[in-house]
Amino acid sequence: MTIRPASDLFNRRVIRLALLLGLIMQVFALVGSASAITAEEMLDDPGLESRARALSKQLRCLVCQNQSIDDSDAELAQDLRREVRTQLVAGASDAEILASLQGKYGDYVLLRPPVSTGTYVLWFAPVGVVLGGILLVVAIRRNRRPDALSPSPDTAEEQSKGDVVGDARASGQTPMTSNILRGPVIIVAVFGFAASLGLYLMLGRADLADQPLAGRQAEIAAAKTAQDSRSEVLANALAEARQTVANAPDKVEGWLRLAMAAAAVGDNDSELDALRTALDLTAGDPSIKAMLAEALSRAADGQITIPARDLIDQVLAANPNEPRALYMAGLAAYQDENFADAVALWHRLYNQSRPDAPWMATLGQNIVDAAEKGGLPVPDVTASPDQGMLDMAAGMSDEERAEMIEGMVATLAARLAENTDDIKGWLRLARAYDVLGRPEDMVGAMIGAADAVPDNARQQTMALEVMITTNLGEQFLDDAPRLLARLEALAPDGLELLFFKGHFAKLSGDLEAARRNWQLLLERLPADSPLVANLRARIDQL
Amino acid sequence: MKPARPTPPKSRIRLSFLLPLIGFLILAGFASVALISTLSGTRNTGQLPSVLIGKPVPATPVPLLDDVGQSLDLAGFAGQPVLVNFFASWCAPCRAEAPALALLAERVPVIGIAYKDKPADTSAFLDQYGNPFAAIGVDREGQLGFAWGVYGVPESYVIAADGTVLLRHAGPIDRRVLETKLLPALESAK
Repeated sequence: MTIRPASDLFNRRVIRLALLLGLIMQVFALVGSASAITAEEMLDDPGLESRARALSKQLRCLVCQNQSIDDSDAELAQDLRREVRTQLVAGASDAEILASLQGKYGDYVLLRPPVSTGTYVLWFAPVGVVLGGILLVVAIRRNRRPDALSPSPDTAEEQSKGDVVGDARASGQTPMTSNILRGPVIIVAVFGFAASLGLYLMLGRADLADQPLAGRQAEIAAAKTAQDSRSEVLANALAEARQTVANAPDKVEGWLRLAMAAAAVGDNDSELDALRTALDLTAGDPSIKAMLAEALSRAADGQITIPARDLIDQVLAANPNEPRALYMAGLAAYQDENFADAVALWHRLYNQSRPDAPWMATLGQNIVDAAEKGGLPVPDVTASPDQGMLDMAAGMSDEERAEMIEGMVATLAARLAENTDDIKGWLRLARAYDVLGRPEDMVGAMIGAADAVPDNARQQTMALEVMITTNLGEQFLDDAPRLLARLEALAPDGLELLFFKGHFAKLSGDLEAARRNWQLLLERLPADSPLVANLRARIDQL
Repeated sequence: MKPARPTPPKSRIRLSFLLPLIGFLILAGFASVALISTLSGTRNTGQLPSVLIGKPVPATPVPLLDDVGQSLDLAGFAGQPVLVNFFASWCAPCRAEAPALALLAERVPVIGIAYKDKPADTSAFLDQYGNPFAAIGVDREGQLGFAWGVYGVPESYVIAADGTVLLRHAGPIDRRVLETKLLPALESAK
């Protein structure tokens, strides 16, 4: 009695599993095949072409790895399809072609894995699982039968000691009910196994060609239609633009429209031609130059090419704040791994752009990315103008606004007092103090920033620089030697170092040391440097 | 009164319980071996084994980038381990591995194969990202790549001093690949 529910449960599971297996296999049976092959690849001879298709279905695309080369759009799949056709035309047999590709790429290129020691599990595990299942059923049945028909020694003992009538009822009823159910259950279970095995042999065998889901075909067709109608609109726009410039070849707007229409359909050559014409018509308008530089880079997969760089330089020479050129100059520096320049250029663009300009988010990310790659201090772009705060501040009176900012600054300062390593926090605080017109606090925050990253020479330099530019050097004579020592250890050859050393020696009254350092600096400066005269004057003042 | 029902003998429970358990444990064993080796990096699912391992490199002639009249001669480098790197100017990961190649070039000759790339683009790429290569072959149509079984760029091959292929790495060379794969392989190739 106790056994029956358990084995029933087992049988039910087997049935459910068999049904599920059958269902899955049916799904795989209901598939057609989509092909990635293009018309120009096809061979003229239909016999060879059908062999080529059959072979393509047996070969795996090594890039996508779950598609045959017949299905895959990858370039490698294209190459392999071409290779198959070349060999077919040369008269190779199917087996020779498969073998030649296997010789290059290994067994993995074959979608039907060869039977070898490495693939025994793959080939024979399904059969083993079914056999194991049958064995399991047989074993359970065998185990149950003697127990169900005759009581075990334990029960016999108990029986002799206890209530005979009760035991007789128990041992008599149990086999009866389970015997009635057992037959159908076994039949269903065996049928389930047989059906699974049959379905597997018909549809799931490892040697069948793969069959991608046909359900996707409708989806793909719909996407294609949508794309086609879009490209039709774009093509019309392009044709219209062409007509416009043909009618009025001296109108710059027409050429610019043509360039845009050509860019939209990815026709780089027409875009470049149109922009060049527009450039000629305007006798070198900087904005159009910048557009041309951008188009050239797009044609080179985003690389800022040398001609594009020339154009960018020309644009920036004419208008140092042209946003497109600034952005691309930054990108060019970034691609050269000149991260300091990239950050500087992009930051300039960032500061001159309206806070709601569409490129701000990307630009901010780029700046942070470049600064991190170059190991530079990250300029404050992410935390800056929180739009909500700004909107709030806009509706306030001056006193209220000042109060709000003071409150934020106080919070930040308190937090930094506890967490002195937060370089970004220090820089933000310094900027806030700068805005609030509190230069001493600003210098203090910059020193905090320098202390937060004692290994960063640039940050030490910046802190020393603000001490001098704010004319507050005297107040920080306790801090300056610490920063100078670090800078000396990090960049002993820097020209700034000599200047700083001279300056702080002068402030602390050691005129001799000041003169020595500045004299040294003077010798190392190029003779035509604009700093020379200034430095001479300073030395003479000592 | 004694319990009316007979208690089930233990052996039946064990069998119906044990068989699925054993099956499960076997599967779990396979899965955990695969998982552990993937996590520890000894099994990389993205890497296909190369058929060329232990075999001499295929001799498909390709022209040199600097001198189209001459073809790349790998045999000229025999007697020392070399690294052969398939790259292209259109391949973004190739830019990423440029520093690693420069580092490798200090130890062994690194031979570049410009795979399906226009020579002008290749030259511009080298100007921009540095040229660590002792020689550069131009595989315009990908024929050499096909002969080597290349299935994507970048791919790097360590060639032993006797001209046989020791190791293939598909994908960009990062620090880990450099330290755990290429440098040990080059060391053993000496």
